[in-house]
Amino acid sequence: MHKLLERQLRKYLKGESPEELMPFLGAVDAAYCDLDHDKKFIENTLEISLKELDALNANLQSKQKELQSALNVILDSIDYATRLQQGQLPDIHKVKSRFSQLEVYWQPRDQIGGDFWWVSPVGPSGKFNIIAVDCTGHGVPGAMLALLASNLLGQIYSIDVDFEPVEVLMKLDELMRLGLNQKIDGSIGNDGCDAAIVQIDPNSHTIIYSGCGIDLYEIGRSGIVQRHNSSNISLGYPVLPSKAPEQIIINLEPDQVFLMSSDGILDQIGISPLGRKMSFGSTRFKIALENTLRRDCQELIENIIQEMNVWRGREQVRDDQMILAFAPLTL
Amino acid sequence: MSDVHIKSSDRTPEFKFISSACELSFSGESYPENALSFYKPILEKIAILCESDTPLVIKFKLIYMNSSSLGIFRNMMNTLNAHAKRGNKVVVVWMHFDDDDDTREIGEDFHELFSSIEFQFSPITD
Repeated sequence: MHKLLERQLRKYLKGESPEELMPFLGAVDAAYCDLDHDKKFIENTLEISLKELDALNANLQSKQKELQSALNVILDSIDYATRLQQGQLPDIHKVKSRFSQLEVYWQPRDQIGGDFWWVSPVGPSGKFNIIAVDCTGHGVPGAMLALLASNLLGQIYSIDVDFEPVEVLMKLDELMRLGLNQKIDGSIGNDGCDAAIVQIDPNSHTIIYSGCGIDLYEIGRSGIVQRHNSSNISLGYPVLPSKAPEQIIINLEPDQVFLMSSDGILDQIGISPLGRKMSFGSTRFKIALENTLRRDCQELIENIIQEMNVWRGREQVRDDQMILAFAPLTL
Repeated sequence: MSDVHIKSSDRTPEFKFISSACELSFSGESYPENALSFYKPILEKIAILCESDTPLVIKFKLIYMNSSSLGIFRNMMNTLNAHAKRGNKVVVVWMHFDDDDDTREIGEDFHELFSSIEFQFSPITD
């Protein structure tokens, strides 16, 4: 008889088992034994399940360690690449003296990216160039393109440091297409860049601007902001440009400031007052410039970034961001 | 050819192809990390459509396109422009919210570059 049933009989029936109750007690005894059996079965099953869970957990932890380790290798590699890319950008302290003001905001989306800026050497004529480039993509592929483009610029200016902006852009287009093996016919290549060049001539008090996909904003003494539109041409792609980019000459006046921005800020998605997703846009960019009190490059950039971030809200940063703001030296 | 429907994801647009109307449409945002890998089947489909004398309608309702995507669309428009030059009717319907000048400008730039395509600008009011 089951021990529990024996105890209960002793307690409630003084150990006596009346004859007529035997079938009933037999059934209760069997029920207790079945319960015991079921309980043992459940305990065993639980134990096996716990063991399996432990094994699964250990496996997951081990996989997580592997993944973390792989991620760390990738992040280390990107850190290294970041130092390499930052090393390739101009040292702003070394070139600042060529300008009355120079401020640069360079913020890749993923630590490294396809936006970069460049300053050419000063030729015997005294002319030099400040250049903004926005290569396709961001992150590692963007940075690889940026490396190619910056090398090509060095190559181009080593032939003639006084090349005009439009000539440099055309050569950059051709060399990039070649450098990426993107032949014109039948190629499905999809990489290239936008670029804008401002050549500053301290002696003639003029600048020459030519841009492909990157506009030049001019803020005059009056505070009025003028947008000089870039040409509708993209550089390096298999689709050959149908025309040469336009080039304009701007006479320098005192207190003028110029800005060039890659599309990362202009196209940043935010939520409009009507609750709809929309890009920050060139109009809001212009308004941010107009609302900045002083023609101070740092203040202008800070104001744009602030307005853009307010606009962006919780939306992800979509692209690399870069603004060049400068005021040429005036005699 | 059968109809196609690719649902949008957080980085890629919704794509539809309606075979009976020879109509393709893109809607949403486009900023995939690898634009070529996402768009390749679509570019291939367009290449096949352009092998025969088919009129085509392509609708765009995109609020954001990264530079890689713009490169793809340029590629696409180049193929479509050649198709139009051969005498086929190609219509691009460029939709943009009426306060979104920048999206409209992108369409205008494409219109300027690919002049054999018939562009229809379609501002959307909220």
